[in-house]
Amino acid sequence: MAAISEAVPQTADQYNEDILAVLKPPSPLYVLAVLGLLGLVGAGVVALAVQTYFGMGVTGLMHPVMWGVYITTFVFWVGIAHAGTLISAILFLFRASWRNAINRGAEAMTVFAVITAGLFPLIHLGRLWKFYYMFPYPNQRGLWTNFKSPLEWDVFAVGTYTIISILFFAVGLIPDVAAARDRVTDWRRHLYGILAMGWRGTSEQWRHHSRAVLHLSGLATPLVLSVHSVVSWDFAVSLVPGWHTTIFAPYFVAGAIFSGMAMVITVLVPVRRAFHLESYIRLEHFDNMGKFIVLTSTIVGYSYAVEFFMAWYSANPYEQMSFWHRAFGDYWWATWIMISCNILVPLPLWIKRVRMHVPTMWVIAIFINLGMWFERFVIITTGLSHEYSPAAWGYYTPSWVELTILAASFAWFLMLFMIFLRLFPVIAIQETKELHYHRAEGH
Amino acid sequence: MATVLGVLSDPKATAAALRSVREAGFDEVDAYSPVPSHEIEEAVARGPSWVRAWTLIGGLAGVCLGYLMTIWMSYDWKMVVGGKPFASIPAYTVIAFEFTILFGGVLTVLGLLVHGLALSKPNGQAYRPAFSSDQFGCLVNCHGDQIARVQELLNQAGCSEVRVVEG
Amino acid sequence: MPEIDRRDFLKIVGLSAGAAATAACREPVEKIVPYLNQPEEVTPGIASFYASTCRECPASCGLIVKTREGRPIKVDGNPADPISQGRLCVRGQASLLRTYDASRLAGPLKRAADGNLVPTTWEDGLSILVDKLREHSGKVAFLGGLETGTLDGLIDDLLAAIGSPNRVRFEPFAYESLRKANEQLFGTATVPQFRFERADLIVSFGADWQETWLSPVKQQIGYAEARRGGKAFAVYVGPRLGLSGADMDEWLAPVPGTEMQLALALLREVALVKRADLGALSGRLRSQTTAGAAEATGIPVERIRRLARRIADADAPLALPPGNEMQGSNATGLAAAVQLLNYASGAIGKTVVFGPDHNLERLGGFSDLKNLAGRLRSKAVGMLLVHGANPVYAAPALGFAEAMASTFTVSFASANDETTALADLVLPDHTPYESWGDAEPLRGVRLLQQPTVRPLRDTRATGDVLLEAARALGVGESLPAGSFKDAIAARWADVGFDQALANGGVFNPAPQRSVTLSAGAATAAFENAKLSGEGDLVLLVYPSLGLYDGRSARFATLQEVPNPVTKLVWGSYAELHPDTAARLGVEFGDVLRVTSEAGQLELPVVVHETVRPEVIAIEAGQGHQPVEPGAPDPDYLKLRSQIGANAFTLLSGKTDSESGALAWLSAKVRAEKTGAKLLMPLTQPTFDQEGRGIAQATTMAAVLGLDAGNHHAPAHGGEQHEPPYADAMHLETVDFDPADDARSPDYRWGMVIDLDACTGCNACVTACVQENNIFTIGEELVRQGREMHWIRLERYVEHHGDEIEVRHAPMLCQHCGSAPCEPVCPVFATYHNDEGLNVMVPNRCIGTRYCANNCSYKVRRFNYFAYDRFLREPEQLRLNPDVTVRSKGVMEKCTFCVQRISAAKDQAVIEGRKVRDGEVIPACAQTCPSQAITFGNHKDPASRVSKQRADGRAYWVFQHLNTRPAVTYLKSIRRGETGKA
Repeated sequence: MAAISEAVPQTADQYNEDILAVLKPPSPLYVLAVLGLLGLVGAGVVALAVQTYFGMGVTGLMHPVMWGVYITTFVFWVGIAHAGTLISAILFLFRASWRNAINRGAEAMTVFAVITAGLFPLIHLGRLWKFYYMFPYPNQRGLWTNFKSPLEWDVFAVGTYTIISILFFAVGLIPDVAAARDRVTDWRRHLYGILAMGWRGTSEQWRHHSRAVLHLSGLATPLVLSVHSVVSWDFAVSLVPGWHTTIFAPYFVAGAIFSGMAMVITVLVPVRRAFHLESYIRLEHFDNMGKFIVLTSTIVGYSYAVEFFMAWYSANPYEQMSFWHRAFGDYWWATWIMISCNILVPLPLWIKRVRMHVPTMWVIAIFINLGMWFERFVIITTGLSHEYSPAAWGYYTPSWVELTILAASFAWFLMLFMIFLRLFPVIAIQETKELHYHRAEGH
Repeated sequence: MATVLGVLSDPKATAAALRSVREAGFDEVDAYSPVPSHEIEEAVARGPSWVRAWTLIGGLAGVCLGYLMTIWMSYDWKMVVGGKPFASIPAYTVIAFEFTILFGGVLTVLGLLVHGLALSKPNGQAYRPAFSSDQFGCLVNCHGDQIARVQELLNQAGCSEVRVVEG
Repeated sequence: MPEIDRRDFLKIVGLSAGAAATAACREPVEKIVPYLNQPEEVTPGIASFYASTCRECPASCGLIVKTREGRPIKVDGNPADPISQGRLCVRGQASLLRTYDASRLAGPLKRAADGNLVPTTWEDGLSILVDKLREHSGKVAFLGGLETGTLDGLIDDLLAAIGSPNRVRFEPFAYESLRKANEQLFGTATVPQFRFERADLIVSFGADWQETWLSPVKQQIGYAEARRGGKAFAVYVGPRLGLSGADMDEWLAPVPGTEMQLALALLREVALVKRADLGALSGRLRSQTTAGAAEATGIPVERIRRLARRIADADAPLALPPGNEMQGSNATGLAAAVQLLNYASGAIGKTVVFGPDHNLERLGGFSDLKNLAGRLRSKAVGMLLVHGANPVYAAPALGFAEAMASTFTVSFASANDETTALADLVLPDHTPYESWGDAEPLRGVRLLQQPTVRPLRDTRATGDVLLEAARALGVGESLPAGSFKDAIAARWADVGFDQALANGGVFNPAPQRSVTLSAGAATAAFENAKLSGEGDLVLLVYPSLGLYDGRSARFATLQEVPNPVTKLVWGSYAELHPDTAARLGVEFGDVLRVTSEAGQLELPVVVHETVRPEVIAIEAGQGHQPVEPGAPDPDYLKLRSQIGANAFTLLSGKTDSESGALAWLSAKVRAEKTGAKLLMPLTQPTFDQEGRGIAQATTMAAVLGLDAGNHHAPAHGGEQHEPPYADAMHLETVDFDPADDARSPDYRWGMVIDLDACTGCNACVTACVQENNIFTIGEELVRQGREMHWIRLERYVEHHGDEIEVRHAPMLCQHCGSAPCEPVCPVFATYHNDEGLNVMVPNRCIGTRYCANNCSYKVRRFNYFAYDRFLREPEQLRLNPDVTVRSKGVMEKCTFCVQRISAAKDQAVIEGRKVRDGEVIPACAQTCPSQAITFGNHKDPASRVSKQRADGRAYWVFQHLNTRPAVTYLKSIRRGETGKA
């Protein structure tokens, strides 16, 4: 089956045919799924309303653990976003042509993940209705914002990241939207017409387009590395034992790509199956992504080890107790979920046959997602629950409100992605077609 | 003036056609293609894109603005936090960096819109949907009396179809 | 848009906050102050102060009441009063709550035909009272608490006039045995003053001298004075190391019941050394060998000898007679033994002073209450008037509930309690802050009590009610004319009523008189306490610091002040030694069923090593009936459902044969595991400071060494907790940014907390709550770890071999020079002002809670809910209009009472000068009876804080983090060789 379906399309028109086939009217199953997700999102909105009305007391947050599921989930989604930019920007610069098939999906995932992540710093505010205090706008209080605060850095880092990834995504879409415009016949024709902004694919247009894409990749590359570094500084610049570490920036970036790749696989496997895109998203792609996961998983594992080593080596009693508590204290279970999902589960990926076996890849990817969420949970919670003053140690357990909103965030992300599937070509037509001509010319 | 359109089915041939036309002295050429192609770009030979300048300006503006804004705001209402100096350059570098990227990126896209879409006037009648799928177009502008010559050149270059779209 | 700078902004905020607070309570304000023609003594926004008296316990401290717009918002001690000396205890600080109690009685009640208490009018109530008095004339009994002023005489007169001289003055803590012992030994049944401040050695035989015993505030002040600078060694003798014992240097824990032998052994040894003439007694003492005592008490001989030597060597030793928790069947004998020890050691006349006695002679005791119960049953008493007493709760063994059934009972309580709930007629009295009164707690020390707020409910002063009744009965002429206030004025006329009112009273203590050992001494009975009941655990019921005998249990604020030993709130707990817990197979939170002869209780277990293994300790004062019987329970603070359990129900009412005092230490109980387990509202998870140097100690030797000039020598005698690099951080500690420092040349506020003086009494915590509108959030939220107190009184236990040392450290915002909380706030909601304050601006806060995460001291508190919604009319009247009421979702923390700083600065500006040292006093420092807290300006080298900061004992918590705190701690001093030594 796979062998047949993976046959390379013979004619260039075949690409448009196959890829734009996704845009055919949705099946009832699809509609049902989207509605189901919408329902979950609704539940999250209700939970948020409850929290806003009664106060943060409806969460499990307490003294001294004042950050919990929300910040954990924020970091998690920001991390997810990174793989998309890595694939579309960095691999583009490295001319890793295999990316062409998956970069559209990955970019879309980036956009939706960042949008999801961006909600959480607001959700976790004690006074959500005053969130705009965080923006430096001229106001009657004559008060600007504190640019020394890592949270303020987040405002700018995440904001920039959202805007840039959306632009990058949109620019890449223009030629494909034009292609869609030329093929579909229903109402969407007008939508695509507008979005294509009069794209005709003249060499003049292509000249500016490829230059713009090149520059955006150039800008997005340092950006993607910086964003998660900045997020990691939320913790690294603080005084909290277990947070106050210089390794955090590279460690978080590696973790981000790790979880991001896993999420790409988690999302693309069903898509590939549902829309019969086996001939575009090919085993070689899984192989390559598998290699990335093996690499980043190793870096992450190394970071865990280094953290514990430094805690011991620093001879700092607070660090030492904090990490002892992390491994064997109240939250040992979370820590060991993290370690097994992020270090042990990916080990089989060293074997090529595993990397080439899609179902296995998918299962492993899901475990990695779980593990990476717990990584952030472990860092945040164990650090806070066991700080300097023994008189103020505590144990935090999330409440139903937090868990509902967590679930809703996944629903929200998947819903956006599914809607995207039906509106835009999930595979970059012109880029894959480029490869087709290269092959034709025997490059 | 008249415009002749030749239709081909792969970038290499298209580039070749364009080159042959230009060797014959017809420099006002353009091409439709479903994919970006260096050969075609070289054949059409218009210098480097202006988008580069937009990116540069955006980036420089961003970094300056980033530092100026943060520093000015810190002194506009001086508040000591954590015993740090009012203007903490290391901290503000984060903001400056983000602004560099943000403004650079936004202006790059603006550049694309201006040069690539607003200022370029692709020939509406000549365009056909297939150009976004599997066909390439090769456009040549010439005087009415040279139409025949151009058609001949294009046919030689292997166009599956050649026709006059104007005049 | 007009420019608004920070100051304007803050002003606006302040105004609106004030406006909000006042608006919330405009209605009563109008009643109190007619602004149309404004009384000159009341200026809106300006506080006026009145002298008055605290009536929370018989100690009757003098007060200064701070009122704003006609409502009292804060009380503090009256500096002129020799008892409080300007200080107050935890209960005194909370006493305002009695007035602003949401569930006080709204007006008179009478028992309706259907058996329920229903509202009625005063006219009706009075006529019923008068009819009943007439009907039962001759068979009326008046049961009251300790009254030492005009009301006392008034009641006697009335009873005499109606021919029913049945007067019972009942206090659960009545010191009968001590009075009896003094009668036997010195022929005077009085309670002398124990002058701590003069002592250089203090030995407490289970007397909780800074919690409830006699005059806690005065004694704590004296104790601090005696101990200042490392003087005065202190020893605690008793089966449980409570708050009072915790600060003392050595703990001797005799087997419960054998305290007598220890006392006698000490007496014998001391008498020998001092060659004291004990007359006939010395013969009886020969049998009391130290070895025998050691055998019986389980205390090593050498430790007994050492203590004896200390007493003998001391210039001014002081032995404190047993407190309630050690009051057994031998109470009088034990009290006598201890008093003899004082006599033999020459303490009588020096530290134990007769003359200016505690005014307790006329106070009855448990036996009187027992008689009364009998006479109620035998119908010898047909009508019972109850005022300031709650026998149904305090003496379950006497079965008052059924004894009162056939009696017509009138209660004058201002709020519902167990006895009032059974009364046939309720004529609620004003609360002390609404009414006139006077008291004479010490002979010659007379205090006046004046109303500071118009009565909030339809209540009447009991004095006036009695006068009216008398007149209606036609016996008015034998009573003072006019109102009760007139009666007081008349009684004070000789000393000048108005002058006294201004000062709060007249303070000339009675002269000291000498006493001699009377022949009766020889007859004193010295036996061990008898413990009855089957079971292997000795029940130790101890009086509650916060709830006294339970009369303060209705105050949510006091329920939420952590128990000074267990750090638990909102309930009662069975305290067990770890060994005992292991033997019973229970751990923290497991519910035990405790069974005594008298009753049975189910209590969760608290395990700590500061009780003797064979003891099970339970705090008294909890387990009240819901304050509004039958009322639904919408109240978040759980005030309407029963809290904890009443420990008195486990006491079978056995008494001390000689004095008739209730034998608290008399029951053996059986305890078994129920299997249930509770999640406990614990405010401090561990008492081990993990060697982190939060509460540090040094030795006497080190202090002397340090005085020689060698500052911050690592050899602080005590432990060197900090990581090695700690000493690299240094003492420019408060200055954060030289440039900014220059901007504020005048002030740099700082605080010094002397841990040697701090005894962990919680007064500062309560004062802070009252001053800063800190909300009480209830058991459930404390259990979830959302407590709001700005001061966390941390308690740590250090082990030296088998000796235990308890240390206390009040932890509050350190106002760090380089504060970790400040740079992480994205919206400048917290920043550092020119005067070194770490300012918190709730109105800017958006609730990212990053500051709290980054605070190394964990002293920031977050408003998880809109706690102001928890307020029930009229509780909002208590709010201090100078302090913003925080909304939900914002952070808050200690402000160094910034409102007081501003007030002082305004005053200084008006008078064109700088703020003087000691002019700004935060609420915590103001009330601290130990004077452990000093506040002042570090820019002034002459200020006390600047001087103390240079002390060799000075250190900064987590100094190695270089947070540069503005709060300096002084190490506690370990005296002597062992124990906390």
